[in-house]
Amino acid sequence: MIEPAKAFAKESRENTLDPELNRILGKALGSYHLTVGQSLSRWTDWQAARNQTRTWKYDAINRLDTLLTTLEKRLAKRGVEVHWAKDSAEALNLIDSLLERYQAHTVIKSKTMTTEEIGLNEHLERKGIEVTESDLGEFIVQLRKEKPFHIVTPAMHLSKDSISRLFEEKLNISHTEDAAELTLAARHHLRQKFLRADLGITGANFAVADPGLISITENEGNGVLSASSPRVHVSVMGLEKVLPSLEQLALFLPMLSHSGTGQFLTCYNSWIAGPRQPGEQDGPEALHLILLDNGRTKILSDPEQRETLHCIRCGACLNACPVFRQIGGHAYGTVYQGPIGSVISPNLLGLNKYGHLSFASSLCGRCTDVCPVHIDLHHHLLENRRNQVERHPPSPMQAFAFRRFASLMSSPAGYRRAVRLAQFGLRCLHQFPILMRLPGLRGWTAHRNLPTPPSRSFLESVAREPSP
Amino acid sequence: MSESRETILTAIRRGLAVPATAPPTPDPPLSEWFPLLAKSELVSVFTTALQMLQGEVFEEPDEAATGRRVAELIEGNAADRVWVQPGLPFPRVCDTIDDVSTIADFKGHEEAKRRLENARVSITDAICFVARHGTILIGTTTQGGRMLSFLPEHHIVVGRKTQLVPDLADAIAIARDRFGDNWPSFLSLITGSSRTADIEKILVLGAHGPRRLSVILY
Repeated sequence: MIEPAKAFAKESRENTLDPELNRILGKALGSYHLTVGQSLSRWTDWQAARNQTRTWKYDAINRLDTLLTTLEKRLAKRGVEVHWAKDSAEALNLIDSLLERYQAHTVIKSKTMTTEEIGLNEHLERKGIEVTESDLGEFIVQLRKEKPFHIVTPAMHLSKDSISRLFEEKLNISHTEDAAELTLAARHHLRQKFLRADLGITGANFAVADPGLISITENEGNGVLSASSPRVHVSVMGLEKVLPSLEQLALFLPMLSHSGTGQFLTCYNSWIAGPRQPGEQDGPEALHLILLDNGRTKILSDPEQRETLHCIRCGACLNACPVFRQIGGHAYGTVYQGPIGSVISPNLLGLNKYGHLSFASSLCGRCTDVCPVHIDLHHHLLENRRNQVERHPPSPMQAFAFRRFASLMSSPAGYRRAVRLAQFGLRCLHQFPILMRLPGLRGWTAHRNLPTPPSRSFLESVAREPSP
Repeated sequence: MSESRETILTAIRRGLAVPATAPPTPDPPLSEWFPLLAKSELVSVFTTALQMLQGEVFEEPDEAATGRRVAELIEGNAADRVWVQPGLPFPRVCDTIDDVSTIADFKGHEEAKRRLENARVSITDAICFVARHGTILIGTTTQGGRMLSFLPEHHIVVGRKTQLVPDLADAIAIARDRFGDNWPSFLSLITGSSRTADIEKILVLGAHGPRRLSVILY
């Protein structure tokens, strides 16, 4: 089993050099940025709005225990069974017992990252339970036996042509390059799955303690149908998602839609407060909510990292990140990708195993700029780096190099000396290019062009200009 | 299972005992996230917003004209493919389309699924309409169930112009007022036709929910 850091380096390099992937990412992200940019004009003050959501999230996380118990109480009054899962294994056991209890053999799912986290699909398939993803993008990657490429747009990396060939093979349709026809084929196929499934599994984008409900945001309608059509509805939700009151969704829902897809509101935002109540026409006979911990309380206990639990999983930071733009989602090797993934994965899964993700950043800060709940993402990357270095101190070589760097940079004379050294070094490399192959340098020079050494340094140029 | 509940709650309480730095208070707190709408604008803002999402909006002078519009929209469909919300509070509309539609009065969940599986059209009213986004708020207890508004290919919503409100916050207030402690198991904010852009970012309508959405206001 290849080490995560090595796998990450290898796949990043391969993906960066893949022209087809580059084209698709460029197109998808370009379209996203255009739409979001246009949507910004709808808001009187988006910066103020995200400062408000930040405060609300801070309040919610910092009384998480009370909100969760209130949520549980209100839901229970309407017949919802609320379960608490400490980790993946417990969540899977819970779902197993529910499948047993309701004699369920077929499952329809709508898109939810928590079920990716716990490895639900693989687990169910091993048990011989038929599980179908109903979100079109998830359905496509499921047919390909692949992981989702992006938390919001799972099939972003696939061309129409590859999807068409996939459907020809798996759904027995005749060849078509028309996106509408492909979608219609999926609609027909999945409609049967909705209506015949014994049990539906969804996530939740938010939960609200008052009046006690879960909120599901989507465009296709598969969330509603997964929750409403089968006899039993199970929702697996990260326990950090709960907010105090429904009134706050008046802001959170448009913020999520705006940053997620550039829409004002997505097509369906549904509030599910229970199973079918007496007097209601249709709906599931049972609703089970699984509150998933799986490392979240660990993050919560670190007051610096606690803010990272504010995330509403919109995907904006992925779309803004220049690293993600080059390497794509799969390269991260974790369920959560992009900047938020690079921040939380080391803390959920281990700094020593996944700490490299926090280092794979230029710290440009664009992620922080686009976050709709104003999480200070790039500083959290720095904190992860600091924590990792504290736990695993650098080699004597590295430590020496950084001490020299620090002393050179700490005085104007030292800085000038460093600049002269750099000028000398650049000229040497230009004269003797073979020096670039030196170990230590090679990691940098193998993928970059050497800049032409300028005749004068910036300091020298400025010194020669007459004062204004 | 309840053991984990205690473990998790204890872990949370222990963690929260160490305070995290509070973010600066939004100052001053802004409550108008979007430019204010005048009452006279509500219909036009709603119409523009919904039309941009490929929805249809018809304005009619009275209930009789509304009935005729509905009849026009459902023409060509077999009566057993056109489902009307039980107790639709527009008697003249109901009268007009009585012969060419069926009341979606199902005896239970399984029958609802069976009868709606190949539905072409459903006709419901709404709790209210949100002008800002072109949104329709529907609910299971008020609009004849959950699936009636989601399974058919074409969803027709009939309403009064007086049901229009500016923003989501207003819709939430209406829901609070209407339901109080008797919160329905399902409410949904519908904003346009079902859609997906999962295939190369190409917009396609009618992913799983209705492909066509028509709103008639009088």
